[in-house]
Amino acid sequence: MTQEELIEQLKNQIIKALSLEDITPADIDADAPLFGEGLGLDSIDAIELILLLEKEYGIKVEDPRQRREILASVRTMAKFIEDNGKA
Amino acid sequence: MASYIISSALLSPQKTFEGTFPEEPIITESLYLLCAEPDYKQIIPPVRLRRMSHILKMGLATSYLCINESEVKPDSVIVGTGQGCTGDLENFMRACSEGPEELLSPIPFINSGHNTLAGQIAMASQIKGYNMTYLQEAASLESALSDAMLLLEEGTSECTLVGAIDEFSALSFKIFDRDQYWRKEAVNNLDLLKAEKPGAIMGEGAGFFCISNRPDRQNIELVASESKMNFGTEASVKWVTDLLNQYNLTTNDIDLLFVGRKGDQLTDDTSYAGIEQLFPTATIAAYKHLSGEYPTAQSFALWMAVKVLSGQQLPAYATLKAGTRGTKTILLYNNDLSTENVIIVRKG
Repeated sequence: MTQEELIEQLKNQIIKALSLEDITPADIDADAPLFGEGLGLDSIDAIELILLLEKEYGIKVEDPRQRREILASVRTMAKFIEDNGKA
Repeated sequence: MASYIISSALLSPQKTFEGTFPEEPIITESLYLLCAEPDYKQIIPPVRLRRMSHILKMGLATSYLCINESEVKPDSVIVGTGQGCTGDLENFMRACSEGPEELLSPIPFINSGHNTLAGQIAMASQIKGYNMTYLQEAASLESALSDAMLLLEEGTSECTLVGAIDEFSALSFKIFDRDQYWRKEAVNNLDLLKAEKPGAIMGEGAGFFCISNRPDRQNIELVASESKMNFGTEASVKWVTDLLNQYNLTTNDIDLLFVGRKGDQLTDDTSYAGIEQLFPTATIAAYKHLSGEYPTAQSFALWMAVKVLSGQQLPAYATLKAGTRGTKTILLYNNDLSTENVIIVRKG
C-alpha cells in the first residue's frame, strides 16, 4: 500500500471513529493539523485516535510524549504506521 | 409559595415538538413507539452533536425548546429518568464483554452516566445553579417536580428546568419482556386501549418544563407532585382522596383526569377503575396509546394538561369520556407496578 492509499484509508477510519458525519475524506487535508485548527479535534478525540492505531494497525503508542508528534496530521499518522511496518 | 409552569416542550412518538396537539395522531402497528424526531442538526451545534447518543439528542433539543419559550431563564436543572442513558450503557457493556478492556472507547462510558443529560444541559445553556438527576423508575418525574417545588419554596431558585426522559432500547425491551410486560403481537396503537390482551407497548420521550415561583400570562399552577407505593384499589382511592384533602381540594374540583391506562388487560382496570369512579363528572383522558409505556410517560400527560390549561382543545383521540364542564383543575394519575403518581395542575 502506498502512503497516499494509506492516507485515504486513515481518513475514512478517522471519520468513522470520530463520528464526523458531515465530513468526507476530500475535506480532510492530509497535512493540516488535526487539533486546534483543521478538524478542530480535542483530547477525547486523541484517545480515540490512539485506540484506532491499536485496533486497526496493532500499534501501541507506549510513550505519551510521542502522541503529539504522531497525531499532528493524517500524514504523520500514516508515516508512524509505515515506520512501524504495519502499512 | 406557589409554583407555576411557564413553558413546556415535548418530544414524543407524536408530532408534539411543534407545541400544539397534532390534528391527527401518528398511527403505528408495532410493539413499541419511537419518537418523531426533529432534524437535530438544525437545533444542536454539530461539534456537540457528533458525540451524542440518542437520548442526549432528545433531551438537549427538547430542553432548548423549553428554555426558548420561557420568559425567565432557568437557574437550575433537575432531570428525572427511569432508566437513564441505557443505549450508551449497553454499548459500553457490550464493548467490555466483547473486546479487550484496554481498547474501550471513552465516549459511551462518558455518556452512560445517568446524570449526563443534566450536565450537558447545564453546559450548553450555561445554567450554573443546582443540578440534580432523579433515577427512581416510575417516580422519577414526580420526584424531580417535587424537588423543584421545594427549591422554589426555599428561594434557592427563581426558575427551574425540570425534564423527564427515557429512551427505547432493545435490551430494556427484552428485560421487561421476561416479566410479561409487553404485548406479544404488534398492535395498532390507536386500538391499544380497546384490545383485550395482556401487556403494553413500549415508548420513549422527553418532556421539559420551566417551573417558576412567579406566574406568566398563562398562570398555570403546579399544585402537587406526589408518589407512593400502594397495593390494591382501596389503598389507592384512599391515598388520592387524602391527597385532595391535603391540598384543600375535593373530587368535584377535578375537571379533567388523565389516567395511565396502557392497554394491559391484566392491570388496567385494577389500577384505574377505582380512581376513575372517584371523579364521575370529570372528563377522562388517556395518552399511553400515543406515547407508549416508559417510566416517565406521565410527562406526556403533563404536557397535554399544560396545553389544555393554555386554551387548546383536548383532542378526541385522547378522550376516554367527555365531561360536561370547562377545565380549570387537572389531576394526572399513573400506576406502574404499584408505584402510584399524582400530579395536580390548575389555572390560577
